[in-house]
Amino acid sequence: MLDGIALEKKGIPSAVICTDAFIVTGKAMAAAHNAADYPFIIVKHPIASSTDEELTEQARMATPQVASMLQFGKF
Amino acid sequence: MPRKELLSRRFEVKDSLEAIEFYFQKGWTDGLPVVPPTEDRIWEMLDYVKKEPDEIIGQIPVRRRVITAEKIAINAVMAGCLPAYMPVILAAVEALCDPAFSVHGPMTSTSGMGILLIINGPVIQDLDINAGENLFGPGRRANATLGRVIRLILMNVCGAIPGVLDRSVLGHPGKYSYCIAENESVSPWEPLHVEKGFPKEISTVTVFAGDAPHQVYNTLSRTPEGILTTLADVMGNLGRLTIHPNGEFVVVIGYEHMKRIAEAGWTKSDVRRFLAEKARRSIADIKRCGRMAGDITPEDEKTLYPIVQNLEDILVIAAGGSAGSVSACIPGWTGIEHSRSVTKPIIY
Repeated sequence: MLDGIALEKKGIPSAVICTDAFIVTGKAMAAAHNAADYPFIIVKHPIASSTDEELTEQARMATPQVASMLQFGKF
Repeated sequence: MPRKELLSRRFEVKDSLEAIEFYFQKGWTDGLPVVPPTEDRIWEMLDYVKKEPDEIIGQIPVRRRVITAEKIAINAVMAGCLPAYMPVILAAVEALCDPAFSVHGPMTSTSGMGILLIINGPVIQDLDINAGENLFGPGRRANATLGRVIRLILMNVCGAIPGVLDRSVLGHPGKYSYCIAENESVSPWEPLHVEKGFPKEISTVTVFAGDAPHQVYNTLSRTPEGILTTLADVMGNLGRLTIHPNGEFVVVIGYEHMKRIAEAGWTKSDVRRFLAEKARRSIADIKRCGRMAGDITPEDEKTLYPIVQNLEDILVIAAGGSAGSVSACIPGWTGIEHSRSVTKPIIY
């Protein structure tokens, strides 16, 4: 989350991906950096024990949102 | 010189019991009652260390949190500390905020680490800090409240609220309070702070992001090799947080084990060397539980993967009660590139 916010503040388009289990935590960290409304992409938890196929599917679903965020920015 | 004002908000309540309930309602406790932090009590803490309320003792930039002397004093009162404990608390907060310790990681992680304080030097006697019987257990004010104040500071000042910025799946009881001292008065070995380069007469606090203590029993062995083989086996368990050999361990050698090991002429360095050599698992074991990818080859059964690579990453402490052949190992949080133990002098 912080990497995305920091890069964005430097003018580098960024897209943060967060699993659904960490939405609250991600938002809390964004709020701590005065970016409470910082948008991020949500994928399903967990990641570590997912199969290659499951991860590929998650990536396929997230890709259009990543492209959109990188194209339009947030600040 | 006139005092500065305390900066924190004041709340009017009828009496102490109502204050205790008020703190519960606000979510400003660890789940146990707190001592109400009145202005007088807060000033007693600050005056003991001659600090102004707004003096910054530490910062956590990644969370944009600043820890002032006033906030430390408030939480010290709440935890039940004596003013004389303040020098230890200030040193511990400085250690927490050291970039090498990087407290944000271990206090947020799903792995549920506690912040272990290890006290060394004359302050152990001066503040009656327990280094003996029931080392990790209840019964001594200094240990109980010093460990507790660190958790309260993390929760109330640094935002380590369970489910928000503390994502521990299980946590462990040491997250309420986790403070021990080395039993320097009976140990034949160099204490931890001397090993780290401090003079013996200086007192120190070491912070370590640690799992719960894993107790290690061996009542029958009379040799260092036997005792330490059981310890190495526990260090090498397949369920520890990371299987990569770049993390730290605290190893607490109990009194009976310490005597046996020392009588054989072994130093702490010998203990570290033996543990680093013996604490290994086969690649096949690691693959069998799915924590390393790939098929198991015949070579994997014979290839041993180290648990620890650097000897200095095993912190050896002599402590615990005088009867019973028990030691403990405490695995640290992930690798030293993310968080490593930090030792700071206690100025008092």
